[in-house]
Amino acid sequence: MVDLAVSRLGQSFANPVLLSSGPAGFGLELAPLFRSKPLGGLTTKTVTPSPRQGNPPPRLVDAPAGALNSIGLANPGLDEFLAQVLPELRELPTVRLISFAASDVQGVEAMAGVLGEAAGVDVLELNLSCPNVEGRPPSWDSASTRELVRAATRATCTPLLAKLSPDVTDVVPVAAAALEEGAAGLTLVNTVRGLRIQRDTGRPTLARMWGGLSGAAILPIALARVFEARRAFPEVPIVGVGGVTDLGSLLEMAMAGADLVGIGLAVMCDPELPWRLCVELKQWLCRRRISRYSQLVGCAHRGGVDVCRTC
Amino acid sequence: MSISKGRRRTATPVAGSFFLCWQAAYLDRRRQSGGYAVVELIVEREARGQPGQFLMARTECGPALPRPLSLLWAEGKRVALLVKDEGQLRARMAEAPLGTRFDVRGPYGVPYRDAVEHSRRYVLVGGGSGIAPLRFLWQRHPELVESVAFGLRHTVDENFLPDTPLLIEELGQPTAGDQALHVWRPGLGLIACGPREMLRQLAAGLPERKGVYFALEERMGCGYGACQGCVVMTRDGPLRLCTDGPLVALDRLGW
Ligand SMILES: Cc1cc2nc3c(=O)[nH]c(=O)nc-3n(C[C@H](O)[C@H](O)[C@H](O)COP(=O)(O)OP(=O)(O)OC[C@H]3O[C@@H](n4cnc5c(N)ncnc54)[C@H](O)[C@@H]3O)c2cc1C
Ligand SMILES: Cc1cc2nc3c(=O)[nH]c(=O)nc-3n(C[C@H](O)[C@H](O)[C@H](O)COP(=O)(O)O)c2cc1C
Repeated sequence: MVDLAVSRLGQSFANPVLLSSGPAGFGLELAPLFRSKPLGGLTTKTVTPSPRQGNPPPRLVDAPAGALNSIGLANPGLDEFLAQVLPELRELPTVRLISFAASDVQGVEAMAGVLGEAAGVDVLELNLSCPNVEGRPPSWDSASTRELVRAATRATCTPLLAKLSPDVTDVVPVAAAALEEGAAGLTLVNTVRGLRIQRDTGRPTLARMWGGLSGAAILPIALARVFEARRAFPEVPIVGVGGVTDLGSLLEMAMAGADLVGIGLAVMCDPELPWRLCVELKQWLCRRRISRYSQLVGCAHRGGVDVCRTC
Repeated sequence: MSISKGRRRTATPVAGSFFLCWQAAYLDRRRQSGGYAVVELIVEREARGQPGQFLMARTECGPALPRPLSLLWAEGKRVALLVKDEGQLRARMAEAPLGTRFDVRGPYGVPYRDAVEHSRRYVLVGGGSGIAPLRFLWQRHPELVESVAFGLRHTVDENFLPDTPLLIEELGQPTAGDQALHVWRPGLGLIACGPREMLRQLAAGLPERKGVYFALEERMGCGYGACQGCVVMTRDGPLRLCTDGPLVALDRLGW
């Protein structure tokens, strides 16, 4: 019998597969799938204090082995989220990770306080890394990260993940700042800042020029960030996100050190993929006589011993 | 605000239904002419698509984001598409050997018939691959149609789109937009699908906004209403083309 369960962040995840924030919206379109088979967790679209319409279109363009998006945190705002969306999310049999962001310390503190108290919020994820809004992503430097995480953890005891940008030379100091201020874990990574140009006009394809690259193209970048963070913080819960599109990439993410693995762009292409990956993961572990998913987590740091010994 | 709750007018997704699952679709027949291809696919399960609805399509080797393609017609397990023969996916549809497997899911989008008022008859204006959903509407719901203006840039074989009057630009014939503006009169509606320039020309030339609908072709992400990639800004706020469109009333667009 293979055990896919993960106990982290004060929660029991049925399996390590999560929907990452954004591509699946609030996950409600996928409710029938949640009801038919278990999935570890659902991270919501980032919620902000006030409604945001998002960036002007075009907001999406594909790229080799991925896509660039510039959605711009379009969301209905905190009040409508609490009144309309959260009650429906509560009905889904999965762990709910609520992603939120605000542009200043007061906003982050207020949101963390309200969301942390709301029924049905299992984990909070502070988005410090969106490349598609005004200003620099806070997780481009340790000081802003520190300030915002401190504001959030001051306001709530609900476990908080800090979601960081891959667009830094060294993610470890930024992660350290978040953890020192009380973040319970890390989500690595958000999209990689990118650009595409319309060849017939010579103008950037996305209306807002820059976008965030996701999909298979960023897997090696995400793996490197997860690996670096796992090496620096052996015990910290890590959600690995970025370029997971099949069983192979999920295994690599786990081996690099991800306790939980988020699927983003690939859900837009194939809504059923996360559920299929759980089945494939179980079969893979079973074939290799590995009894627990947790044996896989971070095994690349241990010379892959767990896997080899049990093969 | 454009969130899913209470806004969807398309069918509610059902677990394991065609809505969220990929189905294998095999290229069964094809005819090509004038830079376009009509491709007929055999799908595993009946698609039950209606005029104006589209399928999301891809191949196993990409592209990373599936592509929306309108139904030219759908009968049982057989569906037809009208595609331009360029671009990653469509060029493959136009060139791959018969029997090649594609993946499709859908149909998505509000059927045109459900998106327009039934109190008037419409001039249908199609440019290029935009002819597909309108020809389907004309065949299925002739009672809604006053006249059609379908335009292509280049000449096509006689049987490329049977029983369909076509205006060919390279033969010096009027464009579909010109023709539509010529036949339109007060009291009629108009439904248009085609290149942005054609829609802009119509918006500028029509004295009336009521009863006018445009199908927009933004890049799409998921197709099922979650990602907000295909949003267009309207007077009433953002609108997701995949679940609230693709037809949008011109007075909402504010053009
Ligand atoms: C609701 C809806 C229905 C649609 N129905 C149809 C339909 O029935 N038939 C149809 O043919 N299309 C249809 N489209 C449009 C179609 O989905 C898009 O054109 C889609 O991108 C085609 O995918 P592709 O992989 O074939 O082309 P892509 O590879 O996406 O390329 C699309 C176009 O962009 C060009 N291009 C790519 N990269 C660049 C660049 N860097 N600079 C400049 N140009 C570039 C390509 O040459 C090509 O002309 C529809 C769109 C929508 C929203
Ligand atoms: C369309 C789209 C919308 C996204 N929206 C958000 C968001 O609101 N908040 C956030 O933290 N990340 C957002 N992301 C980033 C993803 O959660 C994820 O970190 C990133 O896409 C990398 O994973 P992937 O390669 O599996 O897509 C978004 C990504 C995409 C493609």
